[in-house]
Amino acid sequence: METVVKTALIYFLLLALIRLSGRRTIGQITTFDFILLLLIGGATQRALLGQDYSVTNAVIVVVTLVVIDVVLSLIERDFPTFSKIVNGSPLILVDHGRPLPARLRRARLTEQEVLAAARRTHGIERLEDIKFAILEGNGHISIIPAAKPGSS
Amino acid sequence: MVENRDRSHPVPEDMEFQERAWRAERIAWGVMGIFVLLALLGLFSSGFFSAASTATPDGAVTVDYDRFARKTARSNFSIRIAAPLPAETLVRMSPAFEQFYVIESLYPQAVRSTAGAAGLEFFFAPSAAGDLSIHIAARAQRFGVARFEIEAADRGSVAFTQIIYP
Repeated sequence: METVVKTALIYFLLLALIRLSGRRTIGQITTFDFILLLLIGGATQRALLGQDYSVTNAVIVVVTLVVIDVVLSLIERDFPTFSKIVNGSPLILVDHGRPLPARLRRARLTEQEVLAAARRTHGIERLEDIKFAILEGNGHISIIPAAKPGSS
Repeated sequence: MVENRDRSHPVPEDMEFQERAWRAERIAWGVMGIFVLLALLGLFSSGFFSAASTATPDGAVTVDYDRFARKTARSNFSIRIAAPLPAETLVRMSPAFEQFYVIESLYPQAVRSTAGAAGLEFFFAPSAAGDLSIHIAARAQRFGVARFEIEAADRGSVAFTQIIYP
């Protein structure tokens, strides 16, 4: 009983913390962010398992986590508002080659980071070649390149 | 401001929601900052706010303890009893102590010990100087607000409250 309650508590606590720390923290994952995630995992692992290293306890923890995850995904499917709260909504950062500085600032991103995403995904060199740059709910930057002159 | 208006192409935006989310983020950062500060100050055990001491009015019995402890973590208690003391000094810990704690180490060793409805009873031999200084390391098994009482022979008793976090 205790394990299920503890697991659910940790799940929602982590969900809230990760969500409130802001998208860029987890979305633009660097090597160090990855280490940070491992540390967070390690720190919560002991609290979840306690001093009980039995297979039964591990199964209870894992099944509880998966069940909560499935239930949340079902709620997200049926209630878009809930989904928006949990996952965030997409945000346009560059509109027809024009960066939107206030949005970039509040999303804690720079033009350089948008350009890096553009280079990586489309080999784009300049901001003007970006039609749209969108910060997705999962923290990734999607780039839609501007139509090349000559092609329609 | 033009940046605040919702765009619908290529993705539907909800800037009002976005603004609220950003505000919530900033409030959360503040709360997390305060949380870290409180942890540094010892509100979650081991620190300035946590270290506490209580004594009988005449100072014959003094107990050092942590105001805040955590379940499954160790907590230290020091009991000092002033001289002169009989050859076998009784130290009694109220039943709440064994309900919340499992003693992991007790120093010095008790000459003998017993337990009953009144709690744990230890009999110690005093030091050569005639006083007694006892150190207990115990691991909390439960969480909650605990009220303990430690009584030393005929020298009086001290009571204190400890908050044990889950």
